[in-house]
Parts: sequence; C-alpha cells; structure tokens
Amino acid sequence: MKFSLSSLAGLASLLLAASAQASTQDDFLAEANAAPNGIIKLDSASYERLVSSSPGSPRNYSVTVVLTALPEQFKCQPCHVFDPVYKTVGNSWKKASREERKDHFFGQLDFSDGQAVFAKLGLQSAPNLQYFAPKAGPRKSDSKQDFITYDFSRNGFGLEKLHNWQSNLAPHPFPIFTPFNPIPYIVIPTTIIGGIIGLYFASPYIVPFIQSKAIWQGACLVAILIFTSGHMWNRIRGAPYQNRDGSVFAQGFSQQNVIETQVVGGIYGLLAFSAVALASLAPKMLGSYRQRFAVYIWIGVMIFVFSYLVKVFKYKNGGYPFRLFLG
Amino acid sequence: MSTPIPPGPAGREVKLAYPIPKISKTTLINTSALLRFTILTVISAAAIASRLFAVVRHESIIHEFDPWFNYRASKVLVNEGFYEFWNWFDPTAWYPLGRVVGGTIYPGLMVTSGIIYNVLHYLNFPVDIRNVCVMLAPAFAGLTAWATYLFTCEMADESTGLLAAAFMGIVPGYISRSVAGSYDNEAIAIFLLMFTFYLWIRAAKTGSAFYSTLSAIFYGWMVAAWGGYVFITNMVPLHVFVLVLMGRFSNRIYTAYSSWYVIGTLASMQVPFVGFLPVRTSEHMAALGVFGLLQLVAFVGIVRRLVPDKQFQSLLKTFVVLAFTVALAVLVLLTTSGWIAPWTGRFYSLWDTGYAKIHIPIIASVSEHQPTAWPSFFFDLEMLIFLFPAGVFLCFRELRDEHLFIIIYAVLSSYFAGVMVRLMLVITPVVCVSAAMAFSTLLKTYMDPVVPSIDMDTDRDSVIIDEKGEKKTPRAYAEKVKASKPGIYGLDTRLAVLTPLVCSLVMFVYHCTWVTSNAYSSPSVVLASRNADGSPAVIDDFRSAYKWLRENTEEDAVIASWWDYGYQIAGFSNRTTLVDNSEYGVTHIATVGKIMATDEATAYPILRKHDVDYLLVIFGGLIGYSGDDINKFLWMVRISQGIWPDEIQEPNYFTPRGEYKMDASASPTMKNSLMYKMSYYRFPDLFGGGQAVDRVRQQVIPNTPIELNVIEEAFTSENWIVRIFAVKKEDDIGRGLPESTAFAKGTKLKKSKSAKVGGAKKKGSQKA
Amino acid sequence: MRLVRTFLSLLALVSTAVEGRSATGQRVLVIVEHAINRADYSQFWDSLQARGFELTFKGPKEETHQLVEYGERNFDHLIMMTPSTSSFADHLRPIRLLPTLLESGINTLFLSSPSQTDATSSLYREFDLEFSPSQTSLLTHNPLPGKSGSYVAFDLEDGLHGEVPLSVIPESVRQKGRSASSGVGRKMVVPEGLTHTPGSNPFLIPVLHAPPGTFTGDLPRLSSSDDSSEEDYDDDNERRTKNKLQQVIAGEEAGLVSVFQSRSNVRFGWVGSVGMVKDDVWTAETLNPEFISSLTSWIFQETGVVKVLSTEHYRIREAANGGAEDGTIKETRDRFKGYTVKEDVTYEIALAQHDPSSSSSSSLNASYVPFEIDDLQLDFTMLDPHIRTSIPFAGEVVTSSGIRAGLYRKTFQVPDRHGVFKFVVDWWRPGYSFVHESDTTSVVPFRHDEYPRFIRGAFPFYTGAGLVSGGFLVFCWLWMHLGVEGDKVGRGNGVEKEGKKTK
Repeated sequence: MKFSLSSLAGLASLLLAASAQASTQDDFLAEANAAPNGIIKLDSASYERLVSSSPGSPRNYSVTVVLTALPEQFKCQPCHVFDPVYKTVGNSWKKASREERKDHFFGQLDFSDGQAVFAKLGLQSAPNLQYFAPKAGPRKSDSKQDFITYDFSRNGFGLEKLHNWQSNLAPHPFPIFTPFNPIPYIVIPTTIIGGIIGLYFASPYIVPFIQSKAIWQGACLVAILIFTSGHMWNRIRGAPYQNRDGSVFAQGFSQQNVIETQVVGGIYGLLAFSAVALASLAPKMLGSYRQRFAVYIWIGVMIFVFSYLVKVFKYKNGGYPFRLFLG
Repeated sequence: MSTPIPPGPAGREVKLAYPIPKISKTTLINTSALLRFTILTVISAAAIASRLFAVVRHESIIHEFDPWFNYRASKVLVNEGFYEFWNWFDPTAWYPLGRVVGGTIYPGLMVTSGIIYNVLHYLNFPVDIRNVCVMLAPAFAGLTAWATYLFTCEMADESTGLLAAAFMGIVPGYISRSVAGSYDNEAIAIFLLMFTFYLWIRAAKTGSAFYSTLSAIFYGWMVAAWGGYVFITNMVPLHVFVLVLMGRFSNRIYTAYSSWYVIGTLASMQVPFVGFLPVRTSEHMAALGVFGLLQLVAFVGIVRRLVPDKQFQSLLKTFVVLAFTVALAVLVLLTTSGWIAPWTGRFYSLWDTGYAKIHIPIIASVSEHQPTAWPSFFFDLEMLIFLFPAGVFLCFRELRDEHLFIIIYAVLSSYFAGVMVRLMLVITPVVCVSAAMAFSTLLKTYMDPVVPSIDMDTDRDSVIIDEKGEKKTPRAYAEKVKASKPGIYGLDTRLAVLTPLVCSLVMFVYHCTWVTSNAYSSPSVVLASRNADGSPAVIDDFRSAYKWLRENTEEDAVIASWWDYGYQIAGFSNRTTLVDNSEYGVTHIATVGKIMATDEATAYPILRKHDVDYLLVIFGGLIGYSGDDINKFLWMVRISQGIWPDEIQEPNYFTPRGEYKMDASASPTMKNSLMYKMSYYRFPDLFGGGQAVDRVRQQVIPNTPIELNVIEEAFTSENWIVRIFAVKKEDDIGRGLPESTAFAKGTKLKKSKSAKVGGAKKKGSQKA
Repeated sequence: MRLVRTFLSLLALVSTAVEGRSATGQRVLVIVEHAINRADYSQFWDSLQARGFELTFKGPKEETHQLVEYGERNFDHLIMMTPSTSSFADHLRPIRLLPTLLESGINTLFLSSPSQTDATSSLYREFDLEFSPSQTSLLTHNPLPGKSGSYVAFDLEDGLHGEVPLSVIPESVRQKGRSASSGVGRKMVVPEGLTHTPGSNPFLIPVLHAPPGTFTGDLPRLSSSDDSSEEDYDDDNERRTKNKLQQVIAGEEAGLVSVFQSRSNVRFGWVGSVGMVKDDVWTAETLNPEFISSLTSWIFQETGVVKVLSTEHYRIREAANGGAEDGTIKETRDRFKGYTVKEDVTYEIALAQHDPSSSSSSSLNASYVPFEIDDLQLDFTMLDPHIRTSIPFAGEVVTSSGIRAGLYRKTFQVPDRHGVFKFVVDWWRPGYSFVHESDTTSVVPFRHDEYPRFIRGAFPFYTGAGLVSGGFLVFCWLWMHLGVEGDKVGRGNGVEKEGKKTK
C-alpha cells in the first residue's frame, strides 16, 4: 500500500513536470504564432523561462536566440545589418507545420530588455546568436555546454550561411522563404532594355570614347599604379587611412596605411612620367636650350623622388643598407 | 650596343655630338652578334651564380616544405621507374588513408629532373638525384633569361632583349622561388611561361602553325608542371579576343590560335590531375569561348567576299557581340546546371578576395595566399617597379599586336600580384620586359650621337619678323622642321641623363644581391642567427630532430604534427605522417587540429585510433622563433571547429578579455590543450624559479608544473624548437594512465578503483 | 610413521599428476619473510620442485639475487610469502617491483595473512583488489572442534566462483572436491584467511570466495596473544580499536583466491591465507594440494597458455615460372606494395597451446599441441573494421620450428577503398593467454593498366573522336580538290601574309 502511494506521488510529480514543460512550450508557440516573422520578443525573465531546462523537466524543444541591441542609442551597426537576415530565417521557419514548430523557437532579446542576461553571460558585444539544443526527445544533445554560439567572425552576416547553419540544427531542414517581391521582375528587364536602347542611341558619342587610345592608355596605367602600390592589400586587410598621430607611413614591412599607398602610387607615377618625359617628350623639343632645361628638370625630379622612395623604403624595412642622396 | 651611323636625310653628312669610329657595316653586324651571344651567356652565368648562396653557405640541401615532397617523388621516379611513379600510392602519408600520388600532383617537375638525371647518367655523369633537384632551379633560371631575351626581341630590338634578360636574371621577385634547393614547380614553370608566350607571339606574328604547335607543346609541359598554367589559359585567349575586338582579326591569328588551342588542350588533358578540367571548369571556358568566336569570325571572313566591305564591318561587330553574349549565356547556364564546376577555391580567392578567409580556413592559413603590401613590390623589383608603367606607356605609343599582349599581361598580373604574394612571380617577367623597354629607349635616345639638323633656339633663319612685327616661322623653315628627325642636342644633357641611369643600374645590382643573400637564401630547415658577439651561428634544431626520429623510432612509427612539417618528416626521417602539406583531406587535418586543441583525455582515444606513436610540436618560445605552432594554433582550432563546431570553439581559447595569451590569464581550455602542455612542459624549469618568459609572445609563463599523463617527452632539440613526445600505450593492468603515472610517482592508492571496500577502516590507520 | 609414508607416497602421486613444465621457464624466486618458518611449508616446496621448478629462497631485505639484471631476468616466477613485511629490499619495493614484473613478464603468486601491511595492500589495490584491514580474517560460525573460528573448512563448490575457467581449476580437481557431502571428497581448508573484494577490472578472475556461513571479522586473539607481553598487549589493544570493522562482508564479496592476467599475459595470483599451503593442511585429507597446484600451474604458465606461431597473408597469382603444382604462387604484400582493391586475399594464423604433460622432451617446442577453437574472429580494419569475419580452423600444420599448430585460414575480398589496413585477430578468453595479432598492409587503387581498356559508357567519345578526325580529312580533301573558291582563299591568305611581313 505504502509503496503504491509513493509510486503514485512520483508519477504525479512527473506528470506535473511534463505538463509544466508542455504548458510553457504551448505558451511560446502561441507567442511565436502571434509574433511577426515568428520571432518571440524576449526579456530577461522570459529568456530564462524559454531556455530553462532542469533534470526534472528537460527542455524538449530547441531554441535560437539572438542577443542584439537595436535601439538607436546603442549605435550597433551590425545589429541592424543582421536583423533582416534573422527575420527572414525566422519567417521561413514559420512556414513549417504547427507540430514541427513546437520543437524549435526563434527568440530575440534586446539589450534594453535583457541587461541581466547580457551581464550574466558577460557579453560585451552584440549581436550574439545562440542555439540551445533540446535536452530531451529524439534530437537531445548531451554536449556539456548548454548552447552553441554562431561565429559571426567566421560566417559573417550572410543569409545563406545562417540559414544553412540553422536548418541543420532545426528539427528538419527548411527552405528559405522570401515573400514574393515583384519589383525586381519589373525593374531589371526594363533597365536592361532601356540600357541597350540608350547605348544604341548614344553609340555615336560613346564609340569614339571607347575606341580612343588615350582613355585606355590612361586607364591601364592608373590600374597598374593602383595595384602595384598595394591597393588590394588595403581592401583585403582593411588598412587604416593613416596613423593615429596623423603621420603617413605605417611602421613595419608588412603594414601600410591607405594614404601611404596613395603617396607611393603618386611617387611611382611621377617617376614613370619623368622617365617617359625623358624618353619621348624631350627629344621632340626642337630647341637645344629648352630641351636642355627640360632634361635637367626631369632628371633632377627623377633622382630626387627616387632617393626619397628609397628613404621611405629604408624606413619601412629597417635592415635595408642602401640609401640615395636623401637620409 | 653600338648603333650604326644613319645616313642623314638626302645623303647630307649628319652632325654628331661625339665622334664615333668608322666601322664597316659587316664588322659591326658580326661583332654585335658576337657581343649578344657573350652577353647572353654571361647573363645566364650571373643568373645561376646569384642563386647559389644557400649551397655555398650550408650544403646542397632541399629548402622549405613542398620541395621535400617533390624530392621524394623524384627519387621514386628515378629509382623505381616512370610507371611506378605514375601509380605511386604512398602509404606513409595521410596515415591511414594513404595518398594516391600519381593522380594528385603535377608531375612535370619530377619528370623533368628525371629526364635530366637519366640523360646525365647516359652520358656517364654519375650525378646524385639530390644535386639534380637542388640545381634544377638555377639552371632553369638561366634558360628563363634566354627566353626573356627572345620574348623581348619580339617586342622591341635585341639590345632591349639583352637588358630584359639581365633584369630577369637577377631580379629578386624571381630569385625568391628559384634559388638552389627550392625545388618547386615554379622553378621550371616561369621558364615555360616565358617560352610559351614567346612562341605564341611568334605564332601570332607569323601565323605559322609550326610555332603555335610548339607553343602548345610547351603549354602542355607547363600544365604538367604548375597549377598556374591557368594564367596562360586565360592570357592567350584574352589577347586574341582583344585583337578581334580591335578589328585586327587575321588569318594568322586564326591559324595560330586554333592550332594552339586544340593541341594545347589535348596536351593538357593528358595530365591525370588535370584530366577533364579543361572542358569542365570555368577557368578554362574563356579559351573555349574564344575558340568558338574565332570560328564565327572566320566564317564572317568567308561571308566578307560575298558582301560589300561597308556592311562587313557592322556584320563582324554584330557577330562578335552576338557570339560573346551567347557564349556567356551558355557558360552561365552550364555552370548553374552544374555541368561546369564553379571556380575552385584557390582561384576564387583571387576574385572574391573575402572568400578564402571565410570559406576555406586552410587556404587562408597559408601565408602564400596573403595579399601583397607595397614594400614587398619594391623589395622584389626595386626600380623596375616604376619603369614598368613607363614601358607600358611606350607600348601604347606604337600599338602592335604583341604590344597589346604586354599591356594585357601587365594589367592582369599586377592585379594578381596585388592579391597574392605568391603571384609576384607572375608579374616579374612582364615587369622586366617593359621596364627594359623603357630603360633601353632612354639609353638609346641619349646615346644616339646624331644631333638634330636644326635648332630653333640657335638657327638664325628660324624666326623672322614680318611687317606686322610678329614673330613667325617662314614656310621654308617649317619644311625643314618637318623633315628633321627628333634627337638630343648637347653632350652635357646626354651625360646628365646617362650617368644617373648607369648608377641606378649599379644600385639595382647591389639591391638584388643584398635581397637574395639576406631574404631568399635560407633553407628554412636551417635557421641562421647571430651569437651574442655578433658572429654568425646556425640553428640546426630541425635537422637534428628529424635525424633523431630517423634513428630512434621504429620503421613504421606514425608521427602526428601540424601539416606544415609533414613533408619534411617524410623526406628527412622517412616516417609515416598523419597529415602533410598537400591540402588533401580537410577532415584529417582537422583531426590533428583537434588532437592539439583538446585535453589529454579527449585526445588520447583519437591518438590511439590513428596509431600515433609520436607527437611533434614546434616551439619558438625559448629563442624567439616566431613561426612556431602556438602562433599557428588558432588555425588548428578554426579548422577543427569547422568539423566539430560543438566540441571546439575558438572563443574558448581567448582570455575573457578576448586576448590570445599564454600567461597566467590564459583560458583553462587553452591551458588544458595538448598544444599548450607540450609547448610549455618543463619550460619554467629552465629559468630556475625566475620568470619564465616566452620570447615570442613576450609573456610570463606560470611556473605551475604541467602534468603529462598520456604522453611523455621523448626528445627536445637544442634550442627547444622541436619537441617530440611519445604516446603511451594503454596500461598493462587496466588502470587509467593518470593512475599508473601516479603510481610511478610513488603515490599509494587509498582505495581501489572499483572494488567494494570490505571493512573500510577509520582514517586513523591509513598511512600514506 | 606409516601414516607419514603413505602420505609421502600420496604426495608423490599428486605431484606426478600435476607434473609439468612452464611455458616460460622453471626458475622461481621465493621471498619468505622472517616471521614465517620456511620449514613449515616443505610439502608445498616439494610439490613445486617435483614439478621441475628450481626454487631459490630469499628474505625480503636481501639485495642479492635481483629479479632482472641487464634486462635479462634471473627468475621466471616469483612467490611473495611476505604479508607482514613493510620494508623491502630496493628491487622488491612495490614501486620498483610492479614495473619489473610487468616489463619482464615474471609471474607472481602473492600469499597474504591477517598481518598484512598497508604497503602491500596498496600495491594490490593497483590490481583493483581491496583487501580487508589487517588483523581481520575469515571467520565461521561453527568452527571445527578444537579449531578456532578462523580455521575454515568447506566444500570446493561452495566457495568456487561461478565463472572460473577450467584452465585454472581443472575438472579433475572439482571432481575431487565434489561429493564431499558423501564423505569421499575432500574439503578446502583456509586457516586465518585474509579476505579481499575483487573489483571490476576485466583482467581479474576471482577464483575462490568465502563459503556460506562465513564472514569477515576481527581476528580472535586467543591463540597468539597468550604469550604476548604487556606493552604488546596495549599495542594490540589499540590496533584492535583502530581496525574495528565498519561492515562485515561475506559470500562472493569476500574473495579468498583471485588470479589476474595482464594485457601482456603476465599472470598474478593471490591466495588469501599463507596457511593454505602449510604442511598441516597440505594433507591427503584436504583438497588444498590439488587446488593450489592447479592454481600455481596456471599462474606459472603451465596451463591455459596459447601462443601465435605465425601469421601470413597473401594473394594467389599465376607464377611466372613454376610455382606450385597448379602454376600459382602465394604473393605476400607488405604495406609499401599493397594489395589491389577488390582483390581476394587470404589470411592465415597458426595457434598452438602449451602442453605441460609433455615434459619428457627437453625442448620447449615439442611441448606444444595444436589449439582448436571455433570462435576466432578476423578484422580487416582501417580506423574502423571494414570487414569482420570469423576465421575457421583449417587443420594442423607443422611450423618451420617443428611445432605442431592449429591453422586458421580465411579468404576474403578486400574492400573498394585504398588505404593502410590492418589484419587484426583479437581473442580474449579468461583463463587463456590473450591472443592479439595485427599485421599491417595497404590496399592500393588500380594501376594505370589495370582498368578495362574499352568500356561501353565511353562509346560516345570513341565515335565522336572518329567522326571528328574523319570529318577533318574529308574537309581537307574538299578544300584541296574542290572548286575555285578554296584557291582564292588560299591565295588571299598568302597575300595578306606578305603584306604583314613587309610591314
């Protein structure tokens, strides 16, 4: 008798736990349905409730939460970049059937509502995207840490990668749903056709432009100068414009500033032009005096600028033993 | 480079700035020919000599990492014959997966050296294959100088060619990858590149199928030798395409390109590693498209005879545009439908510069794929870098077909070189050529003794005052002006220009020599350093460690290290490695990363599953060798995170404040990682209680002793650069390894692992 | 007197019954502590010597007679009769002893007694054996008349552990033990047995445990503490309070005899009571002689010793010249020249069991007999087993060393996956030596000339190539022989070329 009683009690407690679990789940489902894009707006309390999981009542659904800071005063640029992407993914999940949606929720916790959580997790930056695997059910994970963080630094804010990541973690893979947007279908063809027509009519003015040697020549030379003065490095590494103290040249052989590359490009251009001037302009001068003048000018420029370039390079590369007239 | 005296206009005796000896034309021609030959020989000799620093200083040794594999492969080739090499399955690499070498490499390099080896032996020169491999690059550098000469001669005249050859011979940008011992694909690739281009230009000029066939064959060789062949594959069609757009289409172009494309493609498809790529990947589609385009244009050419010329031009243009769009559409269609593979990672990282960093940590982790900062341009090319645009400008001045080639080459390669340090190699030839063109134009202009027949500043009759009192040139004088050819007047101006030019040449030579001897001549397996008194010292840790492995480990021992050292371990110590430098299996590399990045308990099962006997780490903290494993550690973490995102997370390896630190504030995950433990095991002991400073990271290592349970230190090199640890076997009597080590340390068990304590005693009686 | 003689004859009989040779050697080092009088165990020593063991007796503190010198072992087996010793000679200190035993494969028999020291116990804990505190012993509720409660006698089957393999305690001994109730059989006698609880270590085999009606309790001090002096008594007294039992263990938990075989087939045995081998219980009335003898013969590698004589893997190839009668040869491939994928490979392994009875011949070789089992299993594994199959018995062979062995052979097709593979045979059965064999080979992809020359799927390509080249010839022919057009074009080219050249 006693035994049966105790067992009953245990049973009851279990049931309670389960029902409690279920009820929260249903609440959130309702919220998710109510919310636009199916993303539940959270605050510290509801966040805890959503992701809470105790051995007694293990969380049998998975959760994705973005910890962001949208209000203007935080000036969180990436948050705003990421927001629409996240909404799209949430919205795509909303297209899944009600039963499946019970098993995964999208949440959004803004810093303004959830300082507590930010503090607890010791987050200095936003946005952060967390995935909480379910603690019960078929997809239960037994990894030690209770959530996985989406690595923005590696994946960026792109939609594909996020969706990819998410739909692998979701109960089942789901397609990206984008509401039908007629604008491109109208705009793009019109622009193309218009462009073609425009080109056709403008051709008498454009064609000579395209065919002019000078233009191509200039373009090529500029391109060469830009690339050889390390522009791509700036693009890929996101070089600073100049040093903090405003000086031009960055310290170190494999470091450079944007303005520095511009200066170097200018130097190259000047030297190249002086060479050209000496090679092809000076001889065309049909007067010995002016020619002499021009030649001295340009050779002077060449020597001076070149030695300056060497000086700069010596500054960049300490061990460089050679120098010209300067420094 | 003496110039024959030109007869003045209308046979009048010309004014000379300085007297030149009277030499008959024939002698002049003969001597110049002889001079050219000698100069070229001397240049080649210089090119070879300037690459021998490493051999002179250390020994005839293979450099770097990849060359070690090429060297091994060459040994297989010469020892076991071509077919064995062709079907070579290397069970000692990527253990236990093994590596099918035959199908996964560019065999050109090994085959080349193999042929040389056999020829030499046939001629009874008993040369060791190692020396062939070591000396291959310099030898081909000599050939490259020659090829450059030929190429430039097509662009301008012989003297320019010689200058270009001289530049090419000693320019650091090329030496960087072709010093004696750097036995890598690029060693022969650049020669092939230049020679293919030369032959192509010849073909395009003369329209001879012979030359284009030759160029196709060399292209085939290039394909077999280096992945960079794709540059040619796109360069030549682009040249043709531009020519067509400029309305310069001719049957010469047609013949040259068609035969080049057909034969070249067939040749390239003979390389197993390339196989069907030429018809399946987008890198090769441009060539195919242009081929089709040419057919269309030729067809138009036939139509030409039927329609009047006026319509023809428009017809041609429409055709070109149409064909282009259609081809593009088809290409896009095929790519999207998956028939043509999209751009492969390496090349993708050329276009979308952000791509590699995000998608392919392995590529991003390789330093060769980093962008180029301007100093390295100047470092590698010195003054050529600014003569280069001048040369391109001059190319524009007289715009022959081959000059177009130079221009396209210049623009493309400068972009590539900007994106990838490694491709500095590709830009170097064109820089040399066009810089030489600029330079020799300068020299010729200012050496030419001929003084213009008229001088408007001195000639009395140049200006007359007419009745209105205005200065004006008389018609007669204007005629003379038209007739006169431009030139330089004063001798002083000549000297004023020539002296600095010559000086700059001298400086260039000094620069190249310095760069070569300081930057590009260290075989990274032997580090040069200085003692306290400044005398040069050699840090030979790598070789000693590899020697230790070779002599003290079992024949079939498996050694796990980060992939950079795979080839060297295989080459030096002839042991089985888990991963090596061939970017072959990401999962496997990630596995090693995981071993290094996790704690002992997690790593041990993996180690045992892969039969790892020894772990090898590179640690520079003692002497400040910055290229050590801890500085590469984050890549290991990232790569393995790509495979096991929920087990390994990069943030865990940073301090709470997000710093990458090794000192007391290092994160627990970092401190528990095998990499950290192996690197700093017993490190603080060296400082005898003092502060243990890691000289690379300039951080104080906490001197709490590090416990190693599943591995034990086997070897540590003189300067601690290489540390080797042996993996323990499971305990013989079924204890956990921590317990057995504890027992060996003398701690007694208070209770047994699983036995139920029968009659446990009170604490009192338990004596430890 | 007669009794003695009969007893001796009996002993002789017994000893011949268990006469045999160890598979690893006959030299035994016996460490006897001073508290124990060696002479009281003469029968035990005699039985061992009768079985051909050369015994060397030493005290626990004697530095001479190292177990191992210069990597060569001086003794093949060890008997530690040193329960109450707390300080040993250097080479016998637990921390030195255990590695020595394991590395050089010295089999050891440990004998305990209630006076066992903590040092010793903590050594045994390494084997996952938890001994009861000292001054405790196995007690029975109803002692034999005239004996103290710590003198336990019982039927073997009451104490014999469930899964004791026959190789450790053979059927004959069990037989003798059985039917004790009918008075014929003989009883096991355990005087002053120190019990232990065996842990869940997979290498551990519990053999004998406390029979029903017995339990572990404080050792009654009547016999020994009569002549104990005053201070000694206090000391006893406080020890008594110290070692007060907190819980009583009985039945299977209270182990008396356990054996252990390490990963590398080094064997250990624990006998809970030195008394079990004492002369007064080593009689024809007790089962101890047979029991202990069979136990030692297992520990000292006489019984249950299986060894792998040879393994071989090969593929059948047509011999270039001669070969076997059917013109084929066995071709063995190492890890550098591997087998080709999807190729039939045969693996053979020869197992033999040591036969102690054949002690007549001097050479160890002859003392092996073929070993036949039906549950041998072969893995062909790279990281994970790609193929796992049973490898059946295929008759007897005589190996090159003249040993008769049981041959197991299996032919299978290697998977279509190149890599470095291992043939792994792993046979772990308690009571027998562990068999673990692993041979490495590699599986290589097809060579360039091993693919089919013409395949159906490629016919579009063949036809395509044929058509194009044919078409090209036709085109050339047309171009050369047909019409004026071609001619004009040809000349046109020529003219243009000239023009460019002159330019």
